[in-house]
Amino acid sequence: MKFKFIHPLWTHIPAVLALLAGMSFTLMALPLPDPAPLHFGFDGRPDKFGSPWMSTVWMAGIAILYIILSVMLDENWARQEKEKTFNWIALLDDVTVAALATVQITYVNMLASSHYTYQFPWLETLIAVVLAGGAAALLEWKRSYRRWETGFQVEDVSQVKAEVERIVKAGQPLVYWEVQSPVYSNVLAVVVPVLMVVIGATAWSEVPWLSVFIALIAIAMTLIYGGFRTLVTRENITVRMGMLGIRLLELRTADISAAGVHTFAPLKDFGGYGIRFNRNMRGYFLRGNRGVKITTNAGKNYLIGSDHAERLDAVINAVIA
Amino acid sequence: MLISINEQDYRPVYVQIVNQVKQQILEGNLKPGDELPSVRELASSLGINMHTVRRAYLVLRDQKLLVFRLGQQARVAKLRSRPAGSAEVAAVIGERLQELITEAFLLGLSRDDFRQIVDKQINMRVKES
Repeated sequence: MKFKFIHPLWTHIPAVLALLAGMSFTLMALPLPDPAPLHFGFDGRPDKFGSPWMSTVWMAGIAILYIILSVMLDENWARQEKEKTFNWIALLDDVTVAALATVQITYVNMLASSHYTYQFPWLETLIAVVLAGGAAALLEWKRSYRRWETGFQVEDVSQVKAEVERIVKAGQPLVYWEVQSPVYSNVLAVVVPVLMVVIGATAWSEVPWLSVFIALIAIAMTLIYGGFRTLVTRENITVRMGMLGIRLLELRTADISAAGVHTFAPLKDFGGYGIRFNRNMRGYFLRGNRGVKITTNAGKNYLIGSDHAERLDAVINAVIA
Repeated sequence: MLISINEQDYRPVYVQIVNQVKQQILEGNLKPGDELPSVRELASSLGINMHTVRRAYLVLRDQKLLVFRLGQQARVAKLRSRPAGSAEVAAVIGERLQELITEAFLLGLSRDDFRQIVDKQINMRVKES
């Protein structure tokens, strides 16, 4: 199936224009002095020198990262919308890139003047942020709503339901097991810790304690992070996380009064993915927008994200019956 | 993944686990790369010995249906792209087929009766999947 953006890409024009402005101003100011001041003390005087392209590369790199991140977040938001809502996250890249470009322009301007003192341009940054943020807000307000056709079909779980009911009736022990383990959770558990260890190793000769500290955090991340695992038995419903299987939630089936399939908007309803809270319930989900909402006898609500919500619901309802 | 233990079943518990995992792989409920519960978790949830679950997992690993990687839980292996060779077929199902044929003949079934039962079961399986 061909990929199509639901959230229009033109809402990112202010960010792209700010990036182009920063880059254009730098190119127009060529040639830049080499070495150029790269870092400044509180008094505005330079205390570190290096290649003049360092700041430009960093500015452009961070700006592009923010734009990509924002495109992904906005698309995710748009796909979860049931009706048009104002997405404040859409302003993220525009205000950030505007601030970065302002800093870059004032920095290049300072280099061109050959007067190497630099004070952070608070007023100019504020003006740029307000302008870019305003333009982005206007575009976000103007964008039209398009419903995302997921092609999703409700799973037929009649066979599973009948099977679980039979097992429960027969008094046999049972285990139902489900995992949510998206790529990003594995990146957090494996790739990031490996990168941290590599970076930490480079600091070993100068700051050994920092290397050890980074390595410890990397090990902790590998052990703690990872997918969510939901396990249903006749007695309990448990959600565990990561290699260590840290228990995030444990509910006794005898304490559950109701369970049902629940569709939600992770960004709008919970502000993201993972272990989440809102006024109505506590949620455990790493992807998708469907799960099973469980209500306890005490009136507390829990949401367990699932890639097979109907199946999980059928199993839970069979064991609590 | 759904696993249950039938205490009335004459087959050993580990065989019941092996068969249920295989069935769920065949039905597509378990896909290549899917994670299985840890030995400890599955054993404590079902109220059985850890060695029983471990034995089931090892059988499935030996039959190339599960893979164990260092520090990770058991995962469903990639499904084979081409049918097994005759030696493997003989080792995995030949012996069990012989047992079934013996039982069928002792029940008084003819060769054709047995073939019909096998065809019927295969058709049912294809229809389900």
